[in-house]
Amino acid sequence: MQIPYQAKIPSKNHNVSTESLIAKSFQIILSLIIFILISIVFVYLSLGIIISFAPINFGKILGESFAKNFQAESKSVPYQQEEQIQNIFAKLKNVDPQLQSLELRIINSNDLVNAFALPGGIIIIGTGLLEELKSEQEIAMILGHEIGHQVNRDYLQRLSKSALILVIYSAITVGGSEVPIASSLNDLLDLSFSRRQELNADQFGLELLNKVYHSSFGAVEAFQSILQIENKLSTNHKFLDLNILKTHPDTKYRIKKLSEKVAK
Amino acid sequence: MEFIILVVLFFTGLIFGTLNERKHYRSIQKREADLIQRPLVSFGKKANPIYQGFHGELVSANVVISIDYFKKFVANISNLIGGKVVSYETLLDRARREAILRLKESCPEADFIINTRIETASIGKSTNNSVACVEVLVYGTALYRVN
Repeated sequence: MQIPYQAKIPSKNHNVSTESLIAKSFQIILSLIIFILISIVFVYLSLGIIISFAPINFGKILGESFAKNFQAESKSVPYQQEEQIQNIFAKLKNVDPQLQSLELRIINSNDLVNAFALPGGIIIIGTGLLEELKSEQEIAMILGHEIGHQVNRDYLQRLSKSALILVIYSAITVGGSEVPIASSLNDLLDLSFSRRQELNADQFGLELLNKVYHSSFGAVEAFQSILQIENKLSTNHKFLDLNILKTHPDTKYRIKKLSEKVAK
Repeated sequence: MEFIILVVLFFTGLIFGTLNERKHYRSIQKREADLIQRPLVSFGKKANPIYQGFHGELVSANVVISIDYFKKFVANISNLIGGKVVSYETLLDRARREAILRLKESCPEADFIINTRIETASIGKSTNNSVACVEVLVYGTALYRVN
């Protein structure tokens, strides 16, 4: 028996792709990185919307721990005009039922020339600042401004974005180092807000002032008082490191913006 | 430290794996050209060699080829988005061709090899971190003319 057998070697090996492995893996890695970046940006941008649905006293434990730092600076004697200030605050709170859970803490320390909005609806004001304000309306404006921060959840916005960055950072370094985490926590303690957030809080404070006192008197004046403090501090160099210079945007610009709004 | 080991493995795989593969392909091409006239077919399941003046013998050959870390890395990346796993294509191609060559070499006196079958298996997948190998087994019936 004879089986006809004609064998030949194929000219081309079609079982093997000609693509370069390195180029292909680079292409895949690159597209994955782009995809991850896009999703991170998406989450980052949508955080603001998600956060605005959080209850106003969300994050109370965190706020308490920050408040402790300030209360440690306070003198043991309570501030003599504490009751009047709390009354002003109560008047502001009565405007809207959602503000009822807010809490004002007065820190009796002349070095604290500042006010803060902490997470969990805690507002901190230093007597150093209170002493410089000349009228009830001015105090109401500053408190209204901080209430504005609370209503806009500015602190949570900042906190959640820092937390997201922290998560991404530890994912990249595979939880390798502890130092950046500690420094990020310090960033969280830094109580600064963005220029936009400050101006929105100013706007809120002004509206609140109008609702309670039926006039805009005190809005611009409060910031003029702050401007005076800044001028005083910048000539007196030993107070230059005070928080108020770091945590708020250019006061002159804010006065200009507020005056425009008051004129309307 | 672990990262350094991975980088070393990656480049070892890239350099030695590529060199090895080229060398293997050169050898395969040379031997294929030499053995091309040795008849090897996949039909013949129903053939009865005894009545046709032949006597038959089972012949088999197998080969085990390991993937390198570079190939595994590229394959893992391809796994993320699906599609062709290009890095394993050359591996299987080499293994099959090498096994067929070994089969032909195992019975140089045979007139034909009929009813050839190719089986593939992977070895060493059980542990997660190890690099697996591919085994290819080729078997068939070698026919010898009875004088």
